[in-house]
Amino acid sequence: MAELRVPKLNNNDTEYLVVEWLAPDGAEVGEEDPVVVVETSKAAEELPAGASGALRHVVGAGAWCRPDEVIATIGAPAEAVVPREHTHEGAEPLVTAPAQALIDELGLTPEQVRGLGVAVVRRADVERLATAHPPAGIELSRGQRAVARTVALSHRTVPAAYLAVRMDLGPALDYARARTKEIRRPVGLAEIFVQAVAGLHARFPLFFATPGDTHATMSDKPDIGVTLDLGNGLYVPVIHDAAARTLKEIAATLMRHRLAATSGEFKEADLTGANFVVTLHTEGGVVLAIPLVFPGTACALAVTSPGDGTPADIGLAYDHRLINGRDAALFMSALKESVEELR
Amino acid sequence: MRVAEDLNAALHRLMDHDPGLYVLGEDVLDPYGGAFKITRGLSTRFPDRVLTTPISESAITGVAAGLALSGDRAIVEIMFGDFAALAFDQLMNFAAKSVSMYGTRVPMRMVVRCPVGGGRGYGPTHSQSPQKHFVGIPGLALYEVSPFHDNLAVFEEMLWRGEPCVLFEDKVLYTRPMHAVEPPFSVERAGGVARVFLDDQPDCVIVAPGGVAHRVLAAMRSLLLEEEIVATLLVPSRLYPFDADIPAARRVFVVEESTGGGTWGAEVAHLVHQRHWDRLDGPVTLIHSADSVIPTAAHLEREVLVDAAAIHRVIRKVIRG
Repeated sequence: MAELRVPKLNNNDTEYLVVEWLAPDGAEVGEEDPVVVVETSKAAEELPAGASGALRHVVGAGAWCRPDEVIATIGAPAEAVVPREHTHEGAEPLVTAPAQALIDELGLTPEQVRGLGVAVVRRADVERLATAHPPAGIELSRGQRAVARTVALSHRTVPAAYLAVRMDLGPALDYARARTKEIRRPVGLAEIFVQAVAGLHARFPLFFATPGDTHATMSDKPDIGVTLDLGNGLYVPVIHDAAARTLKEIAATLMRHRLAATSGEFKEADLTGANFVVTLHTEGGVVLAIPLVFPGTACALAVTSPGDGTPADIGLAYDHRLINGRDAALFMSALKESVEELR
Repeated sequence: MRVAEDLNAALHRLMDHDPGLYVLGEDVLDPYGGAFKITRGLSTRFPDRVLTTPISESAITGVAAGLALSGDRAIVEIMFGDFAALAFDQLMNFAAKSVSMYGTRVPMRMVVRCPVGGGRGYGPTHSQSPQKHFVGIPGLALYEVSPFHDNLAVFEEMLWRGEPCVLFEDKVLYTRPMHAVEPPFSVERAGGVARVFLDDQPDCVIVAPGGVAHRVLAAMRSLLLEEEIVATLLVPSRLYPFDADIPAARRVFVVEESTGGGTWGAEVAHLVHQRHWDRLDGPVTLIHSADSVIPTAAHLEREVLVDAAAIHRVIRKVIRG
């Protein structure tokens, strides 16, 4: 196999610029064929291959090389080089940045964009597309679009598993009614489960962790999010450091959150930082609910309640990367115990 | 075909067709064929009419003017266009004047080829774009090589003019392909002016010679994709006297690699103002290299020379505010 070395082209320079390969990598070249342009500080020089065979570039265009450096090899016809395909079939149109932003916002498909039949897609074209094909049905509210994003992200990133345990909530509901009178704040299943879950933080710290690819970030206190939807959209306000709070404090905080949910006037701090989410499905005789695991948390507890409070199936959706079925069963068993023994 | 090959092929055809045509320059004989190989092969084919010369730009240009005055044709290669300054007197006071100072018009058929421009780290005296210094000399026409103009046709036009011509050749063009524009842009030629355009009504027109055309095209592409600013590029083959139909647009830019101050672009701007002031939103904007000596070190040279990013930045600022 022959080598193409850069000759000493002038005495002033210690290196030359490889300006351009005239023959592509893998090309069959003849001895006399010029294959590369190198440039000294004063002139350009084409170098012949110097041998016949398949040319293999050793350095790329734009590289600097020293005199006598090998910049290519010329060998026996090598294995057939598959030329890189440049297919123009169904060529994608060029999309400007403003147009792309609108496409993303409207969630248009590549087919719809291609259907415009223009070589350059501009924002005005996308606007035209949006007007010509208004999205069927109703427009989603800002809040619902945020929910949609969270749901999509959850399904894309969290490998969730689910487990349900049957619990007798009758005594707990009696207990709630008694405590409501006593502390003059409404106490229901939400308050009871927030307190019960928070009580498990010390024994089951992984259930309050934030999963990562190789590490889980632990939380030093349980910050329990509770789903609230009073008809104005879904909110997940947080009861921070729930383990350190009395039932009265929890009830007061949830009451404040319910009021905020009617108007949507939450403080940012109310809605951030949950490391465990309790989802409430206590209306309309729901017997089974599979909540999504919010990205950044490991679990979501689904609280369902038949009207009479007798056997209810309480479910746990959990991130299977972090929590195995056995741990989930132990957690739910402990939860069942603490809820059922409320008197 | 690359620009260098196109130039070389054009010279071969001209020498072949015109037995009265001479090529003169330093180191133009084979096998060297000139510093940038544009004259390669000519001396082998036409040994009597390809003359290698001592290092004296004034003398070479003077001989060419003498040949032209005697009714022959001559093409001079200046190795680096910066040294055309040494031939300035021959061009301004002798060759250009000879056309008209003998009572009757005397055709002077000669072309001085000048490799120009930076971007290769050649330093202060081998990187300049001296076009501006030759603008406005009566009887001297200035041309610039572009990837969109067939070089044979350009040479024929220059020799046909009967006036001495200077042909500027941006060195970075030599390795670039002829006639290439990336979609979605198209190119067409009308008269001596190539137009690179989209089908839409342009937001602005850019006038630029061939040496910076690829930098302007890169800026046009980024302006389109990032800002939806549509530009039409005009690449004139002849820089002076300048004449081009400016498509209707409210903004006009002139891009050139010459350093700031007394530029060719200022001459173009003046003409555009005279003709189209009523339909413009503002003065023609000049985009050129910094008013500076051109440094050798690559990172310092980049700061001085006009590039695609600077073109994008200026046009965006003028149009979007």
